[in-house]
Amino acid sequence: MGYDMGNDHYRSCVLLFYAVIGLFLVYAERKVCAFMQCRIGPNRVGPYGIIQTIADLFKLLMKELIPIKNADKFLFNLAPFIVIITTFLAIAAIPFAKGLHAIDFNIGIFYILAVSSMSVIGVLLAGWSSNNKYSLIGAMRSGAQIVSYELSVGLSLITIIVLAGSMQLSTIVEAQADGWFIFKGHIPAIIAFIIYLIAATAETNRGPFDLAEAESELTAGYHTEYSGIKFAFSIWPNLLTCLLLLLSQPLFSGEAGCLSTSAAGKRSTILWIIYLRSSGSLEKHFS
Amino acid sequence: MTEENKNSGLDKEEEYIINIGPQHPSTHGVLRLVVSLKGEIVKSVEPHCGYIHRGIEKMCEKLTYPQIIHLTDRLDYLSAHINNEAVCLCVEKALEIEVPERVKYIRAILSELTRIQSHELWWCSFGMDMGATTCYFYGLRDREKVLDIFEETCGGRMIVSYNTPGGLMNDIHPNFQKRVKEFLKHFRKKLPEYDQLLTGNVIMQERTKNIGIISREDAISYGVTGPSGRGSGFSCDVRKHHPYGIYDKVDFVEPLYKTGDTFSRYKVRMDEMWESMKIIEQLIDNIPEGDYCAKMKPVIKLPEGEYYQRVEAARGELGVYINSRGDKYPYRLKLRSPSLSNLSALNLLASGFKIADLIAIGGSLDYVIPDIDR
Repeated sequence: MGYDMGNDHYRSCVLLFYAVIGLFLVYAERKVCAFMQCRIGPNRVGPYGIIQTIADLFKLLMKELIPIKNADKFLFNLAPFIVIITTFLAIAAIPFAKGLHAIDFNIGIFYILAVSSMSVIGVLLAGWSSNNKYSLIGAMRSGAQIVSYELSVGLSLITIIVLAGSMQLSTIVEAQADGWFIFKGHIPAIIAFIIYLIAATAETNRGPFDLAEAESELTAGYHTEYSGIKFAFSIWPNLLTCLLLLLSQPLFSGEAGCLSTSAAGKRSTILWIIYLRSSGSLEKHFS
Repeated sequence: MTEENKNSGLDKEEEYIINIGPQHPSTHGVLRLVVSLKGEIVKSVEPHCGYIHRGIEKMCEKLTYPQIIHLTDRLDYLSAHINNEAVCLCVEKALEIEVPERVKYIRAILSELTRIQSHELWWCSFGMDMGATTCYFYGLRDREKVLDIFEETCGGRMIVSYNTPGGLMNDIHPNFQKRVKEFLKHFRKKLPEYDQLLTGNVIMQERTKNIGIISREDAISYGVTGPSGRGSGFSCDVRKHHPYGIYDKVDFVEPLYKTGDTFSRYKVRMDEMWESMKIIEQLIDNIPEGDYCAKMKPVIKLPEGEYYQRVEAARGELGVYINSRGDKYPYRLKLRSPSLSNLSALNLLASGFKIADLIAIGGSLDYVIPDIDR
């Protein structure tokens, strides 16, 4: 039923998977957005355009990294790395199936919360060190938004910790063997679930919460001045943070993760993926 | 005013000046807004225009009257036909020529089609300024149909140059009436879709209701005309108050809203699209037979004097003033630009709101920069 994670090779494979999933998520979003906007989306590079993101990635890797004249060089270069490393660290603890996670701390949830909070530092540094008033405004907006929604995320997750009695993710999953927390925990769990969904979507700076990026006002917010691969490092955590929403599956529905082999797990996986993609694409549709 | 701002930016610590500079995704052209911020709140906005000043009024002093038509297209390029009509009407008024009825009908139909396509493009960019990028695709898809009609009849999609003093340059295409009727049928189904997409959206309503309020008295004193003025209850439709062409025989309503906020300016333009369709429907089947141009001399010389003609462009009241000394060139041609007057109220409208609101307000005023700078 489960996967044997004793071997280190498997763990690094899971981390590699995080690196690659971004490609698919970008492609999926571009196609879905395009269909909503009466157009086709990428369809030239490879059959149905599936290699489009890889081509974009190569292009970004080859672009010149433009150094900004009056910017604080150390902080300017450091900021995107902070964002991406913290996101990787956070996602390493998410279980994708029984045993299929890179690390299984006994303070699992606490670790995820702590690490994802550090991404705010990266965002603020990026905005400040760009020496650009627009970036600063965007970074302040984004930082304020992430920090305020983190409170809600943390409080809603405490409900789960209380219901399960432990912070370790595998224990939480096992505690739901006789019924999902949404059903067992009744009203508090449902409230926590809804709050978690909304707050976690807000944290990803997507959906209706993209004031920080606000293309039409601030050009690109805190990552205006970045070029080449550093720009990718700012966009990419955006997508990876969406995966944090996948966290809601083991927590609230007790199936071990989106790659679990049980039938109920597959059903709830599909629901979460639909929510993820539709909230992101609908953001382009409405404002 | 510039000196004051420069000094105050350095002396006062709380003032933070950013440039929503000439190149920006949502200034709809090259307009520089020097915005003084306190945190997120806009304290004052100072528009610096002139980046696309081409000296049209000066150039007109060396061109004959039929040649001026081609320059007026490029003023407010979204109401190209209406601009052409303005100059033609002024010249015809000076020469006291009566154009054939057929010309008046066709001019009115094309003017209303121009208004529809201008409001469609406004809707596209208004949605996009607020982040709803899908609006652009939906609006432009329908605008293409209007542009196809223009291309078939007038020869140009956006820059039509179809008018000439005395009438039109050529007769309409035989397919014109059929195509316009098809377009009306199609658009009547699409316009409720626009409402479904943007008007009822809670986010859009939160961003536009009670934002950028201008009272009726202020609208009158700043000269904010057109849909922006009608959103504040200022009844200023030139087609109603000083009718020209065929507009005194057509039945339509002038949408007026009392609130004066961004949302009411939005609603006025949506209602105007319905009214324009109503006008076209009254005219399209009844185009009388006749000449498409009155008999004019080969060289047009206006008698000495001053002449003024105002029309209702898509943005507001466009005025053409011609001072002639009896030559075939005007001595002075002055254009009263609707967008410039609307823009002058931006400081009043946007002070005290946030940057995001500033963008929404600018979108609702619907200024086109070439019209401001001429």
